[in-house]
Amino acid sequence: MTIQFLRAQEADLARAVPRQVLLEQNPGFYQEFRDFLVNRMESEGGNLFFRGPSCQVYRVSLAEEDPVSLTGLEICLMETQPDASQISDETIDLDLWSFLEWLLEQVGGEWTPEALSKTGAVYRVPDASERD
Amino acid sequence: MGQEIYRHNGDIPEEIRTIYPFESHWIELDGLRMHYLDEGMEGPTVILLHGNPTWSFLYREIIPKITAHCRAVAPDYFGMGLSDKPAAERFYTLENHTRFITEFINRLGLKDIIFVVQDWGGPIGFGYALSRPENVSGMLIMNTWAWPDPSDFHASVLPWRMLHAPLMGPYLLLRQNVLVERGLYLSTSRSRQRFKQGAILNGYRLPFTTPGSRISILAFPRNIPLKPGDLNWDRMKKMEKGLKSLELPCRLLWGEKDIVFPPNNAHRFQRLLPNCSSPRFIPDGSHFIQEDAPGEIAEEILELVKQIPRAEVSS
Repeated sequence: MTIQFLRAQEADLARAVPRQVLLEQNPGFYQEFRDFLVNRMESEGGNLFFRGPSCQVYRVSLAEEDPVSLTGLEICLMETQPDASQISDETIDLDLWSFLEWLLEQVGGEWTPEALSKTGAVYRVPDASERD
Repeated sequence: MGQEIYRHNGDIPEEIRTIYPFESHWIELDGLRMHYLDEGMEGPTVILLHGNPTWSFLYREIIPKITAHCRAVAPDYFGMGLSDKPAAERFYTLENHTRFITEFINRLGLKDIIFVVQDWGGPIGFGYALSRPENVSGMLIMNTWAWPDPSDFHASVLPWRMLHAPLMGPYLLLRQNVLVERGLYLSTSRSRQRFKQGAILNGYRLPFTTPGSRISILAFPRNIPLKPGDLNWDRMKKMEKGLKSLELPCRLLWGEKDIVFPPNNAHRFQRLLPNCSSPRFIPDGSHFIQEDAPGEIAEEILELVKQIPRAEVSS
């Protein structure tokens, strides 16, 4: 399952409330991840928006507490419905998993979606076992 | 980001209390509350240092086997167990962990320590022992390391580096908690079936109920140096160099099935430490040797306690 990138205006986010679902405090722990993310986010004007396999929309952005440099990066579910808090963790997990696979494909080199899938299978992450 | 502190309320459910029946103690260090166990008699002091993703719960079966002969002290590092957990990942460095354990020992006035170390307990315990060798009487070393070059396991993408790569780490270690949920099971051998019992796994889960309470589980792998220039490379290099000056009695007990620190790591310690026993290998023991061989560990601790003459020991 793949993710679909959106422009901010396409994402229909006027009334959306962001809810953080993943926080990376050190995106430069491996430099190649930071380099890719910086370039991609700059080219998109600062934030990335994507729609996951569940059709939920997510925003990838700098964590608000540190807007100056890329020392923290968060992924937020953009809640547009009053009952959005009922979106299950499993649904969010599956969407995030698809984003991570995409990220690994982009970063490349030794980082592959297959390695993520195998790691997930070893540790029995549901998203990975569903694929194996 | 970075100002929040997760504090466990100290409540331990009955099913866990049954197998971890110890009185909790807390000490405040730099405004943070550190949890520890302090069991047994006055006299030889054994400090039991855990690794990642564990806490003093790891030593629950060893403590009752040794406390007739010594005082057993088992701290939970900040970020682990029932100790406070600052939310900032940058807080959790080897330097800080060593500094806080040093302060912990100073504040409790612990003297002539016997360290029992495994996993991250090794670099933390050796960090203390090299800075205060006169206050350490012996060490039991188990499935750990104290040098900069990584094990094959730590150098590999699959699965280790993937587990803590940017964004993968927050997903796998924080959101999915895979080191607790599955890693512990995978890193035991003799005791593996016991992880099917709810209470043991629930005991390890207890301190890490939310992704935000698991930051140190992610930070520990990111503290392992892989190459010169990495965080802790120089510290670990200096540590390895210092081992030959540590003349205190050391004993080695090793889970032979450990893929993180295979048996050649035990032989390396034996070569580096001037007063070290031959390794005692546990053929059906793995990385979390405290789960696999608590009886053998207690025997080794008591051997160290017996070996070390103490004028001030009271009975």
